Amino acid sequence: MTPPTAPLLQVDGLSVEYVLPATRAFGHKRVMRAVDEVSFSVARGTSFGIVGESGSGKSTTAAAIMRLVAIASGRILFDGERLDALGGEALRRFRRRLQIVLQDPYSSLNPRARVAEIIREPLDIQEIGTRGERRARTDELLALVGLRPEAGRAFPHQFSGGQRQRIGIARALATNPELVVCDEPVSALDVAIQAQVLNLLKRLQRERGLTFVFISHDLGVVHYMCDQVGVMYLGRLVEIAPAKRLFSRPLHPYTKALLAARPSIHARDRVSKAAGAIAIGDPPSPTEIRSGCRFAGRCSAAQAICRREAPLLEPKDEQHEVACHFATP
Amino acid sequence: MTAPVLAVEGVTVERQARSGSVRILRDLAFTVQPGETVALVGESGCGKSMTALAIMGLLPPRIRVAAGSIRLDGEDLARADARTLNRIRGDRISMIFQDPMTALNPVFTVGEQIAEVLRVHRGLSPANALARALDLLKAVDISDPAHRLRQYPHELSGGMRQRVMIAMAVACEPRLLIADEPTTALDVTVQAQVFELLRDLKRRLGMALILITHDMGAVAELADRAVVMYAGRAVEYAPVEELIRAPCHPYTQGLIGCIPDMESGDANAELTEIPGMVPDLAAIGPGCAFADRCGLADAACRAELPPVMERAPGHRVACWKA
Repeated sequence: MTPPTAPLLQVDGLSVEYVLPATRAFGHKRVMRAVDEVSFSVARGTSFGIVGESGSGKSTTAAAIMRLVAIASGRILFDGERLDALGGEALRRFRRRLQIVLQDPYSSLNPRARVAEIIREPLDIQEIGTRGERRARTDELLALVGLRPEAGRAFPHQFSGGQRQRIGIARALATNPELVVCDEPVSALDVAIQAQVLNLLKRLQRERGLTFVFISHDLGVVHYMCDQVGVMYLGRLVEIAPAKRLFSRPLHPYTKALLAARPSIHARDRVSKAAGAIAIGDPPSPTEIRSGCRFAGRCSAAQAICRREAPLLEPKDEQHEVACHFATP
Repeated sequence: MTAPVLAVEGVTVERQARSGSVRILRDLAFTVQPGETVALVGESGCGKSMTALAIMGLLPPRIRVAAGSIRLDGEDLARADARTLNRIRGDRISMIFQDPMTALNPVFTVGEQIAEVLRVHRGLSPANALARALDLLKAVDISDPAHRLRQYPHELSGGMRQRVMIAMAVACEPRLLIADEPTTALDVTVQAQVFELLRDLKRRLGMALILITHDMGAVAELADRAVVMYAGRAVEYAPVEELIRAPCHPYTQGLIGCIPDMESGDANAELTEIPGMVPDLAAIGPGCAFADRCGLADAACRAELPPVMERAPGHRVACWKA
C-alpha cells in the first residue's frame, strides 16, 4: 500500500514523439518531440493545471497520461503502479480509474447514439453492474450533471454546447474514476456557459474527492480551477508553482508574457504594461526547435547562454520550479 | 459634438422564413464618433456579427434590413445600391474577420491580394500597387515583408495572416474598420500583439473601430464605449470604464461576473452563472428576452418590453429593474 500522502499521479521524464511524413518522396521521415522530458506530480483530490499556447504539448501530455498515444520514454505512476507498463486486459481494467473530458462536445459524442447509451458505454465496456444497475446509474449520472432523466432518450444534436459538455462529463464519471483529465473542457463554449460548466466541475470535485489534470490555454480558467499549475512551452514544462503563487509572482519570462498578454477587465486600472513583457513574434512551429532555451527567440531578456544551453527545470524553493537561466521575480 | 462617422438608427433586420419573418436585430441604435472604438459584446447568436454584415451591406440571402438607417458620414448604406456599396467597401469602410485563413484567397499571393484593393479603389498601376502593398506589410510589422509579399496565405502563421488581413483592410485608410472577433483564433501572446497593432493604426490613421467580441477583457483593453447585445437587441450602452465598474443590466452583470477573475481573485468564490441559454429568436415573447434567465424578473418583465432609458449621460439601459 502506498501511504496516503503519496501523489495519485506521478509523471516522470515523459516524452512523446510524433513521426512526421517526409517532405520529399523517399526522403527522411522527421521526428517531432511534442512532449519533452515532462515531470510533475498530482496529489489526490487536487487539480493540476497545464497552461500553454497551441503546439505547447499540453493535449499530448493529456493523451499520454490516458495512454492514448505511444510514450517514447519516461514513466507514469498512478497510485504507485506503472501505468506506462500496462497493456492489454490489465490496461483496459485500469482505465476505469482514469477518464477524460474532451474539448469539443460536438465531435466527441457519437451522433447516432442516444445520450443514455453514450453515458452507459464505459460501464458496458468495463462490465460494471447488471443491466438494471447500469440503467439506474445512467439516470443518477444525468441528475448529477444537471440534466433531466428524459435527456437519456435524446440524441446529442438535440442539445446545446453546454449541455453536451455535461453529457461528456457524465460519461467520464460513469466508472467512478479517481482521476479525470479535462482537456480544454470549456474553450468551445460561450462565456456564460463556461461558468456553468466550471462550477459544475468544481462541485463534482469537492463532493467526490476527484483529482483533476486540467488543461487550458486560458489563465483565468486555470487560476479558478487549479491548486498547482505547470506552464508548457514547445513541449517543455518551464515553470511549476501553486496557482496563487504562479499568477502573483511568476518567474519565467514566458509566464510573465502570458499574464501580460491576457486581456483583463481591469485593463484600465492596471499600471501600463511593461513593454518588454509582451512576447515577440509568433510561437515557432514545434517541428523547428533549435538548441538552447526554446523561448529565447521571443524573450526580451535572452542572453548568449540562452541560445546555447537549455535551462533545466529546477526548484527555486520548496514550492516553485522554473527552467530559466535568469529567472527573477 | 462632432458629426459621427457612423449612425445606426432604429435598425431592424429580419430573416424571411416560410412560417413568416423572424426579427434577428431589433430597433438597434448607436453611433461611432471619428477615431472612437465601440465594442459590440454578447454571446453567440446575439446579433453582433449580423450588425456588422448589415453595416457592410453583406447580409446573407433572405435576410434584409426591414427598418431604420445606417449612415456613414450621412450617406444611408441601408438604402445604397450594389454599385455604391462596392465603391464604399474596402475604401471608406472595411472589415476583418475571425478566421483569416478562410477570409484570404488561397490561390493568390499576399502581395496580389493587398494590391488588388489599391488597383480597384485607387486606380494604381500593378507595379505601384505592389510597391504600396510592401509599405503596408511594413506598417503592420510583418517580418521580412519583401519575401512575404510573394508568399501564399497557407505559408503564413495565424498571427501573420491576421496582419495581412489588417493590411488589406487599412490599405485605403478607411474612416471605419469593423473587426469581427479578430483574435479569437489566435494564441493569447499573438492576440496582445494584434491589439497593439490595432491601437497603433487607429492612432496613426485616425480611423474609428467597431470591435465585435464576446470577451469583456478585450472590450476593456481596446474600446471606449460598448454596446451589450442580447437576442438581437442592445440592452446596455455605456462608456467602457463605467460599464465594468457599474454595470446596470443584469445580463451585463452576469457577463462580467462569469469571467474567472484573477486580479480581484478570491479563487474559492463561485463564478456567477447565467442560468439556461440564449432563447430561440423565433419564440421570444412580448416582454424582455432575458427574463427567463434573470434572477430579478417578474410578471411585468415578461409582459412588456423594457424601453431603452438613460441612466446617466451616455449610459442607457433597457431593463425594468436596473
